[in-house]
Order: sequence, then structure tokens, then C-alpha cells
Amino acid sequence: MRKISRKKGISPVVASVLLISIVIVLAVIIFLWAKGFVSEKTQKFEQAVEFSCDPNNDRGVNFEVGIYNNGTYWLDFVNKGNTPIYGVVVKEIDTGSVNVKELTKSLFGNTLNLGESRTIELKDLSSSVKQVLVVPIILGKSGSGIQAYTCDDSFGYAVEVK
Amino acid sequence: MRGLLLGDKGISEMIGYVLLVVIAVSLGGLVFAFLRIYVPSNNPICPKDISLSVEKAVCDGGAVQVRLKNRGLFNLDGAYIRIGDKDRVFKKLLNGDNIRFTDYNDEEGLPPNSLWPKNGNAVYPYTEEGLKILEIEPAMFVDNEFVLCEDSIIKQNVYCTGGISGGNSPNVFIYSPQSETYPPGDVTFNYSVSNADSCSYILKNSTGVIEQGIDCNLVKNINLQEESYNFTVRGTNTTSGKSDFGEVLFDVQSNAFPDIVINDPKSISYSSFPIKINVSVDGLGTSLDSCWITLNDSTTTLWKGYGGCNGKTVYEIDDSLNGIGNEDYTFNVSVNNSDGLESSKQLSFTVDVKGNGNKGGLGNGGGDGWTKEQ
Repeated sequence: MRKISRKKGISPVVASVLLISIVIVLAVIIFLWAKGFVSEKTQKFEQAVEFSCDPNNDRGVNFEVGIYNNGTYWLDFVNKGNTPIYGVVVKEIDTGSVNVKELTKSLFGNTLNLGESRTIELKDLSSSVKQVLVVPIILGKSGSGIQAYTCDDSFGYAVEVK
Repeated sequence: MRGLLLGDKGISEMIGYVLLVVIAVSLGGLVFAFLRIYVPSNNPICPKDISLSVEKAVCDGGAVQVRLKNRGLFNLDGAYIRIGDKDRVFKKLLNGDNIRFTDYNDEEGLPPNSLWPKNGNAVYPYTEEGLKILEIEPAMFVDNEFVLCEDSIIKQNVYCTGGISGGNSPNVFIYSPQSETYPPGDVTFNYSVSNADSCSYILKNSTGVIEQGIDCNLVKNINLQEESYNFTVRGTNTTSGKSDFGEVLFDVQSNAFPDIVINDPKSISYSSFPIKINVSVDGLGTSLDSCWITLNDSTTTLWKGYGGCNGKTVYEIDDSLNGIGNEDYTFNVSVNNSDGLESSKQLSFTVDVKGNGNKGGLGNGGGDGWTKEQ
């Protein structure tokens, strides 16, 4: 013990400088690492993209959907809100089953802009289907550029098939 | 142990505090940046007191004719006009090429109690037949963003006769007068009503009926004195029982106020300089006396006069603005004529030029010839 205490270590000034340097380097590394999570998060209208999926939000997707049957099933849309709709995922809900399957992923051809209306043909709709769930896809920005974001099913628009 | 720690020299208290503060601030910034996007922001939305009504909707002859009236409390900048079958959601957007009320650009949108279009009807090609729903969704600029008013959508049933010209609905076209100011004297009345077997017109002012008749086509001069007038034409097809009408409100005034049209700047956010100024001034037959522009931010007013307009009946102001700070501005044009009648028109715009600083305002100038108003 005595031997150790007699040995000279680094001076307090050098130790302080070293400590500060290590802390700063660690802080920068953690900051750069965590910054990735923030910038990768998809945003729309400078807020989390999930807000834009919610029709109750000021800038949320607000669209009307209907099915028209004239021998062929047509899915009609009107975009009545202030958010353009990039596309939709249409899911078929069968009777007596909670099985929700993705029916089609139509990207419309081009974005359904504000106030616009469009109709797309629903192909291969099974005869037992009672309802389809139309889930909007919207565009958002992330660190890697523009990204298509499919909203949660809870923001989908359910339509009865007659 | 205690003695050992006391004997050791570590970092000073000051450096310790600085380190703690730096780390805390960095972490705070990180958490803020992460959580910021999860806080709902105040997005521009339409006010509730919006009411756009369909004054006229005719669907025949391969076209839909629409005339709208703003019955709400706010200026409206445009509307999405859609038409489609009653049992379908899909509706064809008729005015996709231009959803703005462009003939009201100078008045910052369709003012309350005004008709759009100013004259006649908006006509869109549409050849389908049967009972249709005409759906109109108003839109307006809120905080420089074009916003749809989804809570104020109006729907109107219309029966379309398809591409057969005329169909069985009458059509009223009033060519003159228009919704403007006329000098006292002869005013020309020119209208035609098609596909009708019973027509009438009536000209009224505040005192009552000035003139009325039963012509389906009319070209006639009527001598009018200073007043505000209402001219209405009706046409009825007795076979189908359908009718149509047209209405024009106009003024007759000897000393007409000068007319101002602001072409530039526009009610938008500018991201670069120079900001163009282009204003047309018309004395409507009376020579102009003086023309000036004022520019306000929240604290300062700049003034610039345009002596070139003196003695002229028509004058165009061509100028530009430079080097003003990032702010919201009110741009006001005032003109008076040799009769001493003064007109003013104003609009608002925003300057948001990168690297321009947030609050320079008008303290930075505006270019040559601008003086600070005392």
C-alpha cells in the first residue's frame, strides 16, 4: 500500500482534461446515435405521420369510400380532407372470421389530391365477403427521403359489400 | 476511505457543474427533438361560419352551369365542384383545372354576400344523364395555406338531360348591365332567354320598380339616375314546368371612385427578393390626383408616392420591394381623383427569405424612395 501511494500518477489537470474529453466524446456519440432515431421517424406536416392518419386531427386524412356494383365492383373515393392520399390498402373481411387479408394494394396511378374523386375496379372479390376495410397510404418525410406510410387499420374506412 | 478521498484531487467543482449542465441540456434537447413530433401542432382549419350556397345549377346541353353565393361571414378563395350519381360516392371533379374564384383575386376572395362568377355562370362540360348530386366543398386560405372546408360541403340535386342541347330547361344570359358602376344616363340592357316560352324582366331600385316587361330577348337603353339597381330576368318552360333566372346588381354614380387592381404583390409568402409591385389604377373617366402606397409591419409604416399618376385617367405602378425583414406585412394602395374621391385597396403578404433574419421588419428599408411615416 505504501509502495503504491509513493508512485506518481497523472496530474489532476491532465485527469480533469481526460475526464472532460471522454464525457464529451461519449455525449457526441450518444447524440449522433440517438439523432438517427429522430430523423428516421416519418413525419408529415412537421409532426408524426400517425397524426395525419387520424381523421379527428386537423390535418388528418378525411375521405369517403363507397362500393358500387354494376356487375363489376367499383371502389369509389372522394378526398374531402386536407391531406393527399397516395394510395390505399384494401382488406377483405370474411363472414364469421376475423381473418383479414390484404386484397389489393393499389397505388391509384397517382396521388388522390385534395377535393379529387376516383374509382378503381375491385378485382377478385370473393363471394362471401361482407365488408372491405380501406386503409389509406400517405406520404411522409424521413431522414432517408419521402416514404409511403400505411396507416393503422384503426384508421381504415369500413364499407359494406352489397 | 474518507481520508483517501479527501486527499485525492479530482476535477474542480466548477468544471463538474459545467459538465452536469452540458449533459443535462444535451439530453433535454434530444428528448425535445424526439417528442416534438408527437405533440399535435395547430394546423390551419376553416372557420365554422362558412356558408356557400348554390344560386343556380343547370345541367343540360352537355354542360353544367353553376353560380354560387357566399352567405357566410368569411371571404372564400375557391371551391371544389363535383357531380355524380346519387347512389355513388364517386363524383367527377368539374373544376379541377382551376378551383380558385379567380375573378375575385383582387378582393382577396369571394366576399360575403357576393356571387361567383361575377357575371354569368361557370360552365363545365358534362354529358351524363339522370338525377345527379352536385357537391360543392368550399376552400380558403388560412395562414397562407389553402384549406378545404370539409364541414361546409353543400349538396344539390340536379337533373341532367345529357348532351342534348337545350333540353327542357330554360337558360337566362344577361350580357349587360354587369355588376359594376355606370355613369348617369343611358345604360344598355341586353339579355336572352333560351328554351323558354314565358319570360319577364324587372328593374328595381330602392324606391321600387323602374321598368318591367315580358320579352325573352331584349336590347334596350334605359336612362338611369344615381342609385343602386337590381335587374332580374326570369324564363319558364311551361311544358316542363322548369324555370331559370338571372340577377345583376349594379350602381349608377356620377362621381365614380377610382378603381384599383393590385396585380402584385399577392397574398402569399415570399421566399426571395425582389418582391414585385404592379398596380393598375383607373380614374373611370376622371383624372387622377395622387397615388401612394403604404407598407406596414406591426410597428412601422413606410410610405411611397407616385406623382406620375397626377393628371392621368389610367396609370400603372411598376416597382419592387427589397431588403425588408421576415415579417407579415399589410400592403395598401390609395388613390384620389380630381373630385376628391379616394379609393384604397389592401392585401397582406409574408416575407420569409432564408438568412434574412426573423424580425428585421421595415427597419431595414424597402428600396429606393420609401420613407418612414411619422
